[in-house]
Amino acid sequence: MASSHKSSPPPGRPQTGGEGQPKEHRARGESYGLVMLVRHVKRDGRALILYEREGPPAA
Amino acid sequence: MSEQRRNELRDEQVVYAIHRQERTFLPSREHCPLCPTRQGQAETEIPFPAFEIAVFENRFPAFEAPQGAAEVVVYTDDHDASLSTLPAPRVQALMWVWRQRFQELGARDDVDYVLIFENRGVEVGVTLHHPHGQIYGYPFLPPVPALELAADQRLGGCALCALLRAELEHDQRVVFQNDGVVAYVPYAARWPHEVHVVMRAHRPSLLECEAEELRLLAEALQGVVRGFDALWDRPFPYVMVVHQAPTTRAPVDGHLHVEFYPPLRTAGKLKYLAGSEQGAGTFISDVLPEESAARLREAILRAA
Repeated sequence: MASSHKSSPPPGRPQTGGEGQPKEHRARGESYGLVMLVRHVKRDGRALILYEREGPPAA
Repeated sequence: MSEQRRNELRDEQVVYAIHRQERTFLPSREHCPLCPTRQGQAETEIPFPAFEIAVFENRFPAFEAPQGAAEVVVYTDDHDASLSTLPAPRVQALMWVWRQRFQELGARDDVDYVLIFENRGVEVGVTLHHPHGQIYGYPFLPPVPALELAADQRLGGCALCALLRAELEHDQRVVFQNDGVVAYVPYAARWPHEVHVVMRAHRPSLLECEAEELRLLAEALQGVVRGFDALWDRPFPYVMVVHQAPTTRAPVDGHLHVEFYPPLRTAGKLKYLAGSEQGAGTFISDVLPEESAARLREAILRAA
């Protein structure tokens, strides 16, 4: 089976998270399979994504 | 910004990322840039006091937009953990992180191939000990996936499907299997303890996998690395690479599998790429795949 992923954009391009550390980053999570991701932008402009397992936290 | 030059003799691209000379090199654990940021201490790459899995754009990228991507995937905030010691749910979550990054990077017009990999151990050039992997988004199709596509054409179908069938029939080199994944030392392994972890079903990439298959892949990967560590009772250095379908605009096939290239030939001796390997492109191995498979199979069972 051939595959090309160009025609289906990803669910959400990098969002502008603003500088600094969001205090309630959990609340703005984007669900993806087993994980919830929260996008940030570091002080120097680089992207940072934090992933947390949905449901009970991993031990 | 990196520069690409074409090596006509080898018919390949060479990437010059001279800024990477300045990258952090084996810092002490107090200065680890992949640890969480602790109160009263300097900010690390992850400005939070705790995290599960973090992905960020590499500060010293080999590729960057609009000509590719380079990311770091930090598996845990525990500096002393490893893929071998992480709890199973964390490794399962990592499969979903890989999948999400493959989807997002592969959708970019400047990324023709997404390479997810981990270098473990100073023997393979690790510069940070904190457990992590990397992702490169290549703006061109590199030689190895191109060779895999050529193998499909040469064999008249998916080469990995054919090789997997042969390994299962032969059954001398299989080291681990579950309902979704088979791991084996390949018939013509280049490295003494090379292992290929292959999806049983033909899945071009992580995107086509069912949730249960991702769980089984996580289980297989962890089984193999625990076996590696148990083999000589030491952290086992390796290069681990996830092979998937290219993400070129034209649809092309692939068969998701993970290859391990461990450099040790004994507990204390390294296999070097020397004259024959570098000058002629022919690997010469001191170990038969059937022998290393037998040792590794026993080590995986012992570590389970």
